[in-house]
Amino acid sequence: MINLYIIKIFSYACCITISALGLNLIYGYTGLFSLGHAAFMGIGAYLSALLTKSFSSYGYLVYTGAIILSVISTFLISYLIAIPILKLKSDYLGIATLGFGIIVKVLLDNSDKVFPQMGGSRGMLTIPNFTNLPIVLLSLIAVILIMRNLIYSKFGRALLAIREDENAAYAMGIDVYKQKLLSFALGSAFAGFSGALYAHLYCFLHPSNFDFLRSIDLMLIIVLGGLGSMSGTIIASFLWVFILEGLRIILPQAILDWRLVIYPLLLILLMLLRPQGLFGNKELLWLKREYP
Amino acid sequence: MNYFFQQLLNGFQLGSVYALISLGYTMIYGIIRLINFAHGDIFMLGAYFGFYAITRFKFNFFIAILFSMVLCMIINVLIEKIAYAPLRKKNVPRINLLITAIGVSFFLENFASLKIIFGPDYLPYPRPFKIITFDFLGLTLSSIQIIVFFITLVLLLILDYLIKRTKIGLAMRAVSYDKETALLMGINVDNIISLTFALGAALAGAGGVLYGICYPQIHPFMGIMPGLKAFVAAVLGGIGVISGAVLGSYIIGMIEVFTAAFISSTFRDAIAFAILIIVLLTRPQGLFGKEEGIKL
Amino acid sequence: MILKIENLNKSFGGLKAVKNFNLILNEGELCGLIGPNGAGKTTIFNLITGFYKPDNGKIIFKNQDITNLLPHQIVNLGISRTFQNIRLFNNLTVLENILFAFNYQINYSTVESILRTSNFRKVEKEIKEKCYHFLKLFDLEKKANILAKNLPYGEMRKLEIARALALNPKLLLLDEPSCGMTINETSLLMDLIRFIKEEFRLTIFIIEHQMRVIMNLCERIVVMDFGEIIAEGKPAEIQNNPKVIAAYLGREYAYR
Repeated sequence: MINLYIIKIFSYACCITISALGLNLIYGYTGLFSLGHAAFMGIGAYLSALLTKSFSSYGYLVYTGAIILSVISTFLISYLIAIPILKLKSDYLGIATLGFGIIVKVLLDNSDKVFPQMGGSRGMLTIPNFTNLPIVLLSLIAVILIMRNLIYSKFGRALLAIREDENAAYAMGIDVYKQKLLSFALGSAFAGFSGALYAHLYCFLHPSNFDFLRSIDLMLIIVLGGLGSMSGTIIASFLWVFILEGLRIILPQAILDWRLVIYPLLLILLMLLRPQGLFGNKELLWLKREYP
Repeated sequence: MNYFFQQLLNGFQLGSVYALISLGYTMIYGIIRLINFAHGDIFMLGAYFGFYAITRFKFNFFIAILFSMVLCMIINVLIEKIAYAPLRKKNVPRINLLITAIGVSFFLENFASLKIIFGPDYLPYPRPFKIITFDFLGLTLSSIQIIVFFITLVLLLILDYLIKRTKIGLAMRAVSYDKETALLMGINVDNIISLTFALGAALAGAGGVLYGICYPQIHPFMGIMPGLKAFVAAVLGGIGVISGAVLGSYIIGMIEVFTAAFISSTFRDAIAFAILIIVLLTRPQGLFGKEEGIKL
Repeated sequence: MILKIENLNKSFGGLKAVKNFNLILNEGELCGLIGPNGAGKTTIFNLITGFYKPDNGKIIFKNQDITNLLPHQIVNLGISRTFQNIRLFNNLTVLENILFAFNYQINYSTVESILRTSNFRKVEKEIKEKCYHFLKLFDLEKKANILAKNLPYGEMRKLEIARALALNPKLLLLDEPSCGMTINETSLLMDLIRFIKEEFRLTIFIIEHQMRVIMNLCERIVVMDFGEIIAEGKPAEIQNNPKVIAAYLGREYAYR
């Protein structure tokens, strides 16, 4: 029983890591302040669940198809959203993405008016359980590999240049706007991928799983891990999930309430004592910066 | 037609509460460029303080508002001194300040939810005065609305006086314009920042009590959505601009009430944010903000 | 003729920063742009490099109209620049700063970089060699792995110039390279500019405040005041031009 729970939590942590890596690409590496990342997770989750639920008899075939389709759709949707929104800078970009997240949540709340099987604010039930530990683990490894290879290439260098100094990036002949669009869309596609995996892990979706508080959680994770550090994001995601979710089974009910009081205090303390996050921009093992 | 004007009145009522919250957002952003996510929770605390002042201590309603304002001021200044000031002195990236604000917000919400503090449940808010309704040109105006409008107006006038006519206000404007220069002019920047937090908290505290009597149910997470909405209002009006925040609040209040009345209450948040995004895209500095030039 | 500017105008709000600006730069020359503070010199650079859009007028580079191109497109055509207040990628290493400049010359696809194909590895290896070649040329190879922000001031300038040159420009715009430098550093800078002009055979357009630099280096000088060209000619001619003296020192001094 406990083992099963730990496997679930572990798989969940893998999903969160994939999504957080996407946000790190957007904010940590490119410097685009996004507070609506969970919305893309939600889009991926609901879209894939809608597909697998409607064609559940096809089993893993439709699951694979649904995942691929959610990744492509979140990529395209976020690209289209980004075209106007990325004209905004820093805090304003954050506000606009936060607004987008809230709009998506409201749409999900009302989704049952168009697709009754999406359940709206009652939540979407009985999604087939296709996601298992090997699948999330392989997905996570694939995402880490893709991200690492992207970061240490022409594309990743363009993003870093933009984050460091946008005007200098222009002067380096970098098409700043296009690279920003790509970074945002790619990071969001990671979130869509993670959402699709998540939907078939817990087999239940609710719009509040993807509201702006979840976006903020993801932001917390990447800042805690260290902006611009993949190792940091991976470790912070797992720590975050295990400390917050895992402790639920260990602690008695009386202390459980205090969990959510102590957690923000730790957060405030960490921001003060380790402003650069656990890892800064350092990497571990083969994630280390490789020079060409 | 009457229905329309009645909704206008309701929008005005909601907008007044938002105005009291969003002023704190806009002043704090103006002075330290922080989106103070914990501000909505100060508003929540204000509602609870008012609640206890009325039910437990049997204070007069106006005294209860003052009581709540003072407590919120003290708490917000403490938060500023304990959580934000050390960060500011260390010159950490702005994102750390924001995360800290989120941390403070989580802390206040969950701390308030503890059974030994306020408890996690919804509490019905007392109405410490008789609700009288007046018929005015075919509209129904309740004593609640009159009190809300009156108190909001008085607080706004006091704030306006403070900012425009006193030395403290001048110092606040100087600090928000240029911190280094203000420091050179002999202004105690730390005190001014604390004062801004205090002023913002006082207004939010009053807003909390007024919200309680208008929409009589409170709980520890009640600050999140009104806080966000007030923040939207501040951005809509041009963040850092005092009059912009007030006008923005009334606009958001109206939008929300009219969406609920004529479209569907489930869509009101979405429409408020959609309008915000559209405004930002056409006028990034907000409706009443000044345009900032690009520097190379 | 490499660059031709015709009737360029630019205003900010009510302020006319550039008025009817006309200029021709010849291939291979080292031309200076001087003028008092606020004369509009940096604005001219920002207009040429596409950071600002002119209100009207034309900028022709190598017979191509670049007036409405975006900054990165202009870089790719062969104009690169440095900034008055150095804009390095401060939190990245010296090597990375140079590496980023080679970005646009790299031709492998994103898919190739994900798969680490042999073409990807080949291109990256070539780029690395080019980077080290560059660092050696500017005597920075020992500092390749130091963060740019930790370099001494003079070397920051050098790195910024090296980075601009790594873009393989035909025309290099230097915005007050000696700004904030000591006399010693300035002398080194002058040697550096002479060196790169020989080594890379390019056209250089330079904004400068220090007369020593401008008079020693430039073959031709353009003087601006209030957004307009007030004089143009050889260093010796400029030195004795009353209009120029007036612009710099005030009218009283010139006619005394």
